[in-house]
Amino acid sequence: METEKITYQQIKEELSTKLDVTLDESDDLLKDIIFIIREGLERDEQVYIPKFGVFELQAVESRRWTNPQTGETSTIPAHKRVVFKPRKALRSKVNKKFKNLESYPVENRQEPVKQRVSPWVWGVLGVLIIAGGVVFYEQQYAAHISTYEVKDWERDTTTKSESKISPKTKLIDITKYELKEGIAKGNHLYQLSRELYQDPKYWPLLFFANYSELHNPDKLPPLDLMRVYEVDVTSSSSLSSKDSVLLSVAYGVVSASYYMHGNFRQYRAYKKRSKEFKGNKRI
Amino acid sequence: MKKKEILKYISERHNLTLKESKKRFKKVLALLSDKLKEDKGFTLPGLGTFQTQLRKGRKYYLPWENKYYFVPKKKVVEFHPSINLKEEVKYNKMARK
Repeated sequence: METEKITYQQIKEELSTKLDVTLDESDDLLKDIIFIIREGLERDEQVYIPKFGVFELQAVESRRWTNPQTGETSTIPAHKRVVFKPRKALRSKVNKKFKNLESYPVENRQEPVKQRVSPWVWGVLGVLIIAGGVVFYEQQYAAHISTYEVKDWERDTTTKSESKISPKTKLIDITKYELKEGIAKGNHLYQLSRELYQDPKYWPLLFFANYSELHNPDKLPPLDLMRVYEVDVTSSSSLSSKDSVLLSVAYGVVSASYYMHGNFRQYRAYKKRSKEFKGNKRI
Repeated sequence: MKKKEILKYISERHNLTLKESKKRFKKVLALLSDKLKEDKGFTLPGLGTFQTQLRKGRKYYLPWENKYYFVPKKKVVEFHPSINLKEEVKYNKMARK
């Protein structure tokens, strides 16, 4: 709250009318009082002014200071500062409006206590959100999956539309590959992808092909037979549009399954990559 | 520094009796405090500015009593020393510890 201000000139004029003296005399009187207070402070004395207040010097200890913009640290040396303590007469005079108000104990908190939402509601909300996420991802990627499956089914019956042919799948016996123990126990598909496609980063293709058996990419069950897409991912320098779509779908499925099993970090990473494949890029 | 010394100084400078200087001194202070009462701030050159400020009502907690207390709003006097005075006093070697 900003108070109105009056100038020194106005004070002088009012004083001169009050005391019946000239302007210069009232000016002298005020300046004398100011001079007295200043002199007292410079000698480090407490200047008592009756029914008004006390001017005094307060010692400030030295302290460290860091400039937040540059990060430099420096010490502020010990110094003195001027303090004005109003006396009770002045305090009560200024505070006359709120004189009757007194402090009183409050039994209960007057602030309205925030009503806590019961944990059941949070649980239901969480379930709804997860379900919404799953549905969203099914809408985005299940469409691709279904089209691929339908095309697969179509290809067996009608071989005419060659432009829409989806990549063939075949069953492979994994046991013939000399892999580490991990694959048989279902740890990772990296090594199999390295054997088949000469690059471990195409493992989502395997995951996507065998999605009916595999659900959680972190915990893979041991398999002997696997479905594999017959795609030439390694031969061409740039991916064909069909392959890139397939890859993006596979990555999307992996990210969605990560999402369902609560591994959000991997979910984000694979979602990003699936988007990059959509743009027909090679990672 | 006390009242007597102030009055002595004033009476010597203006060629007044102690009684007269006391009257004038009282009137000056009455004027200044009246101005503050009317919520009007002012600056005295070479000393600083006086003004009033409204402190909002607030609540505080006394842990040993396990109770909340409400402190009502009030008006207080503020004083900001002028830069000139501040710097003169800041590293005053005459000052006692």
